[in-house]
Amino acid sequence: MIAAVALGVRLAWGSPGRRVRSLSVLAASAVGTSVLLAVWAIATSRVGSTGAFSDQEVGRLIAGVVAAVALPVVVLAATVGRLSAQLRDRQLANLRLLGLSAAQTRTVAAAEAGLVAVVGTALGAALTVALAWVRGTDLVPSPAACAAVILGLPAVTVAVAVLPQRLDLRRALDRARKSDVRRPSPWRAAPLGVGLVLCLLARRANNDFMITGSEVATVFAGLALVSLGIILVVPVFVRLLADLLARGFSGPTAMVAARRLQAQPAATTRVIAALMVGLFLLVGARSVVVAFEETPQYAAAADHIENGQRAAVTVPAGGLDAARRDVLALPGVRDTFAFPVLTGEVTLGAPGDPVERVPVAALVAGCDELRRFAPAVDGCVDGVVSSLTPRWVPRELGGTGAPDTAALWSGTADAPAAGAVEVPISEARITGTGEGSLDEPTWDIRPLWADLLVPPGTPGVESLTTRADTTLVVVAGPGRDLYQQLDALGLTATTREDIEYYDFVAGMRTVIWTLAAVVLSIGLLTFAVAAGDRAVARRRELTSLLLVGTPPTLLRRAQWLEAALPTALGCVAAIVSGLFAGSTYLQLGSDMGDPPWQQSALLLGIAVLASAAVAGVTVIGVGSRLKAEHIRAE
Amino acid sequence: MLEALGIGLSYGATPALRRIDLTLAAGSRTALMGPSGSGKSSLLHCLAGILVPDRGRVMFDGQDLTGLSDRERSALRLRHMGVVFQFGDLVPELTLIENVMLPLQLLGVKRAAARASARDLLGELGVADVADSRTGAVSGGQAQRAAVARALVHEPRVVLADEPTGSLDTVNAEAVLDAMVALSTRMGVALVVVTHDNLVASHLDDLVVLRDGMLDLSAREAVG
Ligand SMILES: Nc1ncnc2c1ncn2[C@@H]1O[C@H](COP(=O)(O)OP(=O)(O)OP(=O)(O)O)[C@@H](O)[C@H]1O
Ligand SMILES: [Mg+2]
Repeated sequence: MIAAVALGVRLAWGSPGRRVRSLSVLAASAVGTSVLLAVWAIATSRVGSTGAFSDQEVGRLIAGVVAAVALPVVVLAATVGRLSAQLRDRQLANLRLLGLSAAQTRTVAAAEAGLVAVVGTALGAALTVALAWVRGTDLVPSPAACAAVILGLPAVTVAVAVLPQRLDLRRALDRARKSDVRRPSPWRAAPLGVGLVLCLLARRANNDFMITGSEVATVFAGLALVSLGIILVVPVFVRLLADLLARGFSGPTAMVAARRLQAQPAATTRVIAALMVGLFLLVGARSVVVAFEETPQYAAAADHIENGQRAAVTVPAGGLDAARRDVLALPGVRDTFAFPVLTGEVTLGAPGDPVERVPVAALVAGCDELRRFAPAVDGCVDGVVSSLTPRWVPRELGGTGAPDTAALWSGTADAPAAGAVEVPISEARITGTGEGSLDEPTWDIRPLWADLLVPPGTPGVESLTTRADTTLVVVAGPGRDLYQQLDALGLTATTREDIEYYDFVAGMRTVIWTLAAVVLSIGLLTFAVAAGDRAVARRRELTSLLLVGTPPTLLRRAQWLEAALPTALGCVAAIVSGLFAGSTYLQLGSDMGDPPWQQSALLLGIAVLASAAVAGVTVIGVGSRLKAEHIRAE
Repeated sequence: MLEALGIGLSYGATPALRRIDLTLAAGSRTALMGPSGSGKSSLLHCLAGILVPDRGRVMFDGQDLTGLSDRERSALRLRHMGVVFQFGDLVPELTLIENVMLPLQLLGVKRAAARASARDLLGELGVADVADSRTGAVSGGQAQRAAVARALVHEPRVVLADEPTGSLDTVNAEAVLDAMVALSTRMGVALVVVTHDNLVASHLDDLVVLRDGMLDLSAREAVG
């Protein structure tokens, strides 16, 4: 046992080739560990602390996020752990011939890979924690997270390193002997096709406003099949590319690249599949977050934090000047607007046939004052009571129009504190930039809400406003502390935007983009490693091509094509299917918003460029000079 | 046509070639013999432009190979030379016929025309039936015939072969060598074959013997 471990350790550091391999495993474990821990910490702090969801839900979300990163990291570790696998397997088999038992041989392999992985993981964890401490951020990974990663990652690496590969070897040999590489079964494309058809069917059916249970079931069955299908379809997809390349282009570059693609090695196919699934899930998840972003409370909170804060406080009659002075002294406050607000009641329905008595709120201000407060409003007529609410659909749009009169009184109570005043309501309707065919002004006059705009000179109103409370609207720069500052002054905002909701949605968005970046970079890194390893194994082929006099540029071009084509097109396919899945989901409800076209297009562009660049990296060393040693080594 | 002028080559401190002068005429057929480690492969690599000698020059039709860049030497090899080594060095991921087509395609010949020429030549070498198999699926002799076809398909000026039959049994070796000599004679291609085998050497006209990196002129006279 000890001898076997010692042998493993010696093997890990024995020759220059082994040292490169061990260093690769070390680097991969360290990078994987720090990425995993960093994302874990980001997820915990950005999603876990908003309070928008219960602990249990947050736990599930974080588990999902961590799993999404763990998958590519594990693929990275496993791929690097299997580097030069054939060579190593042969060496390990030689140990068996020398008389080591299977278990001993496995111990040798485990010690070799495990030692390096443990060192790399510990290094990565220490680095992440140290960095978080030095930068003084709250992104220090929890001890539990560290423990899980430090134990889990080496375990996977070791497991993969010890995996008996005899079966694989024999299959590889069989493959090499066949004059044409076996074509992957076209059935692998079936789940994807069925899933897409189900999604399309659901989209067709969902033109009405009703969503039936069977429609929901169809969509989710379709989405599940699509995400499963993405993994299964990769070999078919790569083979299709290879065939198209072989048919469509007659040059030697295409021939060499196509033949190599047809022989698709398991390692690179696996990496591409992982990359595609990751991108698909992330683009899909991004669409789900869109549904959250479309809700009014998110829009209001986002506007608050990104563009400027507004709060309304109620100031009792007489206290206005003092309150204004205090508020204007607060840092960040830009402006204040004071409006008396009256309460009242209207009667809806035909005259003489009262159907409903509805409470209303009235803002007392002239058109100039209103325009200064909300520059985007339109349709204000001086000297008459105008309606602000979208509730009363105008007659020209087929509604009943505004009621003729309103009874108004001061104070907020349901009943008049002192005698009510009856005012006539004009046909004038104030419009704004809000959504819908009515161009609601609600958004423009936020955080106020009123049904009527009453000019101060309206008969009887002046007497009411002297007694009424004043609503003071405070306008401040972007941020999130206006409410607390007002609280400290003893002025409590009447309504508050749900900032925690904003934090949650924005956090989810950050996490998704972080994940996309991680998946893309780790995925492409793994691909580069796998492709580079393959290039080393293919030195014989390269040597023989160079011997004929093949120009190195052609070899580089073929290698680039072989690497860039499946990754770039795979990324495109994954992102497009993710968008398709996301838009299918968004069509389930009305008003859930558009899929994130622009951001997905950006991600797509980045993915394609990054694939091209990484393919460029795999070219390094391919077209190097012909070396006599390589001819002799055959 | 192909000349070595006083070339010398060392691997680090190990001298492999010392002052070799050699002239190969167009259409000549030369056997290169000598004990193991005498520098035969090194000389062949220098002649093919794979290695650049430390001293001396290699001239191809009056052009100094040692003054060319790696890319220019590759282009020259592609156009005017064919090489065959002990294990054929076919591209394992291509079929035999694709391997043979490769030099033609690289020289800009259209695929269909390249395929036709390659098939003809494979037919002449008796391996047309396995033309569409990959190298892993054919015997060593068949693969080596395809390698010979690949070296000759573009009608080069010279074919350089390093123990081309070294991995074959006597019967196969004889057949491959016969075919190679016959084809190159018909095409007027100069042939240099490194070999340990006197039988092989007997198929060729000239004999050059190396010993410790130098030409052994006595041996040359003794046989020639
Ligand atoms: N890459 C190398 N590094 C160092 N020394 C080398 C290298 N290649 C060859 N040599 C040495 O150069 C000398 C000539 O080698 P070369 O391969 O040319 O001999 P050879 O005649 O072809 O031998 P063989 O008949 O065994 O193939 C030998 O001493 C050999 O050890
Ligand atoms: Mg030799």
